[in-house]
Amino acid sequence: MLTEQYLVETWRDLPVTQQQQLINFLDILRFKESSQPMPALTLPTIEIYSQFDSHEAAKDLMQLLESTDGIS
Amino acid sequence: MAEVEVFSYIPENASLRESQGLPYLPILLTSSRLQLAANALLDTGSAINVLPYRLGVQLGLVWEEQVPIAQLTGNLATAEARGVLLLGQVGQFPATRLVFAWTMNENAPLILGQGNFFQQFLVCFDGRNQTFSVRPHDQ
Repeated sequence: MLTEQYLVETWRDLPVTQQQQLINFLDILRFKESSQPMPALTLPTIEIYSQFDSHEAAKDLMQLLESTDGIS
Repeated sequence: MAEVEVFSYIPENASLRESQGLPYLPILLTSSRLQLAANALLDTGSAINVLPYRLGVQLGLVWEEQVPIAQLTGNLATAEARGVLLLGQVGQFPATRLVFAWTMNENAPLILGQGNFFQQFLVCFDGRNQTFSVRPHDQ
């Protein structure tokens, strides 16, 4: 078990930028454990509807197009 | 009849800068029952055209009457899809038969992709000026 004194000294020895990174990381952990929304620095979820690898469906649709006259 | 029709990108959110618009194409869709006007996202990365469920219903399509197709991918992988054939009219050009994956997903946008929209139309994107031009392929 690390002593409080060791933790405090380690923290003081860290550059400010690393202290900031750790605080950001702790914020994310806290929000993850709670039901609150994530902090602003977290990227939003991106929804991608583009069917870039629906090749099987594309084959089915081309077959439908070629084998059927008229429209639905 | 115009040889080429030019359209402006449409911002997804009116409060955003104009440079963040997307190429939404105004298109008139026709089924054997009904007709409706919609803005479709031109998506060169999509292998297929995608029709969201609500638009299919508005076109009078009946889910059980349509042909089941292979499972879609990405966000639409969890929703069942059917194949449907519609007429699509862009600007003053003659209507063209377009084949769509009609997805049960309610949130999907109307997408025009490689199969078969980009086989029927030549499109040139000008991202800097936020415009795109469209003309039918020579038959």
